[in-house]
Amino acid sequence: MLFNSFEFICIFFPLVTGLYFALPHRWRWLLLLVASCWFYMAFVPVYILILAFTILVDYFAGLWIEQSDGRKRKLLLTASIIANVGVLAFFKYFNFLNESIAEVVRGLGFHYGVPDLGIILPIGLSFHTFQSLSYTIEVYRRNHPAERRLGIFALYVMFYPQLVAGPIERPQALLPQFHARRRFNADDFQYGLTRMAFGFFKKVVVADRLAPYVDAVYADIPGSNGLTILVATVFFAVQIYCDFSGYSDIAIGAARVMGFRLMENFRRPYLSTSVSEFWSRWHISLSSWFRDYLYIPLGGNRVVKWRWYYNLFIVFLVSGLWHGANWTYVIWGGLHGTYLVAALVLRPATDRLGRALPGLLTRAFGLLSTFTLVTLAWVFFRATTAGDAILGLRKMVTMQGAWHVGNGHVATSMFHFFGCTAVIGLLLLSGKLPMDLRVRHPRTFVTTTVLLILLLGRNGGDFIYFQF
Amino acid sequence: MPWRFLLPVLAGIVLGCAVLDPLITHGLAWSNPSFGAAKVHRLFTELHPDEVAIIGSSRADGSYVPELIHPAAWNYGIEETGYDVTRMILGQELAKPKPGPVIINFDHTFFSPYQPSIAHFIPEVRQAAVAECFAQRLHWYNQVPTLRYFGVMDEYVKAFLSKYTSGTVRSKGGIFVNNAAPPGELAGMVQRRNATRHAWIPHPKEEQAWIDLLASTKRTLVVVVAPYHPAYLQTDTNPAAVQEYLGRMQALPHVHVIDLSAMPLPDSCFQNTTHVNWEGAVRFSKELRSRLNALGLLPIGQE
Repeated sequence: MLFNSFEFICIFFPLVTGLYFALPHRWRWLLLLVASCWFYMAFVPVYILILAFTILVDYFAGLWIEQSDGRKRKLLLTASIIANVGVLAFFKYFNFLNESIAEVVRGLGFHYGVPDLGIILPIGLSFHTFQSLSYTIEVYRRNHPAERRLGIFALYVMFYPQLVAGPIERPQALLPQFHARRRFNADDFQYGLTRMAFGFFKKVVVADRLAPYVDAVYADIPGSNGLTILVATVFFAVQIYCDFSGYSDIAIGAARVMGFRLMENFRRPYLSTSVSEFWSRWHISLSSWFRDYLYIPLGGNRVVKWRWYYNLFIVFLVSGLWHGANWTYVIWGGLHGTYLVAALVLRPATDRLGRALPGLLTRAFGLLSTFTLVTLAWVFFRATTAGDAILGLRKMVTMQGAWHVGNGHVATSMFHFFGCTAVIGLLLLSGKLPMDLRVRHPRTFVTTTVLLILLLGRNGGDFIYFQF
Repeated sequence: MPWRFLLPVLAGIVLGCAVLDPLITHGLAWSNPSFGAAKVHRLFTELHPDEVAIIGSSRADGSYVPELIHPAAWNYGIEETGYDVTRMILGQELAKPKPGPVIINFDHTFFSPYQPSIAHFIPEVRQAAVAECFAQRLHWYNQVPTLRYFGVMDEYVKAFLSKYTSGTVRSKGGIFVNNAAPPGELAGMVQRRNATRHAWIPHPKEEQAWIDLLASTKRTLVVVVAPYHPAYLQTDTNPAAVQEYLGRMQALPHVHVIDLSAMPLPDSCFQNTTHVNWEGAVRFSKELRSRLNALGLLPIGQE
């Protein structure tokens, strides 16, 4: 079920929220679990079995890990990781690996006969796999006790607001909330609806308006001129932010209405003055997941310099691969890894330059250069093939083609272009709001936002991050 | 309690919707008489006894200059309109107590499944004929003030703004593109057209239902085929089928068929291979008027 569907807004959400407060505490977990199953099964019902497998494996792994020590404990964790990553690898990466191997083998002149399995990727697989993995790892690290109740653990993996696109929660933060008795809290309710309204605004008004322009241009990179591709890429930078952070706002808001607190996932990332800062503001739950479960175990920055750079680069390469089974995502991750390593290598020089220049200028330069670097990397993230991405970059850099936005070959009328710039203007205006969205007049804010959505919104489709 | 927050918010939204809906409907959707929504509104809510209605698709919209055909003519052409919607519009027109003829533009692809934008019809969604015709595409929220316009506002804004842009000529519902396609561009279109083939696809049930509808009235009906570029006609692999169906309509005593599909026009009269521009529309409308006058089909007088 999509958050931006009438079924969710008018039936599912009010019904589940209403029932949640109507039911006594002991039944609430069951209501949320059934609701989460219903929510997930609205996509491809049979894939609930994959979730059930992950839940059962990690539930028992958690219990057994807690009771064991030494080698057995490590073995059980390894088994849980293999089971989780195995499911992810099969459904997400089998075709990618198979195609890549086939290309190499055929390139060498041999026959390759392993067929493509035509698997449809289960929605949100990477998100709930990582959330489940964080549970077994935390139990292994003795940071959190194993959950005794299977239903509560299932709810931890499946909690509907963050089931398909995060934020990726940790057991310490989320599991105790399912046990806690909670009463209706007017402040939570009000704040939750405020977050949801703003999330819908970002998705339906901004992201869905930019999507047709971006889609049309990226579907025809060879037929588009440099300026059009540049505009489409900047639009995509805004689109993906509004799409994903909009989803996170709705998720955080929907949970908050019932009194649950989910972690923040975005903190105005395009206001970052360095790529490193960008990653502390963008998809925070994933960045911190990689930091805690990959970067630090690899040694983090407490190693020799080259190894530190290597750790950083590997983490971003894996992060790229996490996003999708395509070389374009690997290159995107690799680019970010390169940016970070380059920033570390050049730090003495940039520090000296920063001290020499006025603060405002340094900040403006940092802001602009970070946005440029991040946006350039988005080209690989959005393009269908690496070839398309390289062609797009080349056209952008050389400003190849006519000097106007849109052309006869792509559906990008000037009306649509101005519509896109207008909603970006609205988004920039929303920057005046407090970052935590604690607005002074929440009733007026929600009412105005809903009316703006009705007037300016578009019938968009899925959230971009559902595919991951 | 949640109501302390929810009630003022819901009241604000309801009030906002109630205020915005008429503004959108009157200020945008119906603001441009050449936009489909305004035409549908006129069709369902106004009675002009002497009016000569011209109905059909975008080829009707952009080919028939009402002022050149008859002083009381009005162009009700709506883009992407096919059999289903034309049938609904003709049904509505025939239900009116009017004596005058109806001019129906007939395309070679008349029975193909076209889907006009729902934006043209949402303001009249409470009309039974509209609700029936669009039953598959309408949702419950299309009945709710303001919410009903969710996702189609762009089209109304575009229609509103188009009143202030150059490049088109507007005349009593019709909207005509001023310029011809640049020679190179039209040549490309002709080349692409020549690379494809098209033919009349039989739709026996719909064809008979249309004949039945035409037969159900005593009013004079003029079925007209507006000009196509020669490239379009040359790539028709079964022109006889079109002629045969035109013949079936012509067989009805009160139906007159005027086939101007092959009317000789220079390339400067076309915006593409299926649509004429303003110059083409003027030439075609003058020719149509003389044919209609010759047949004595146009009423005398003005609206």
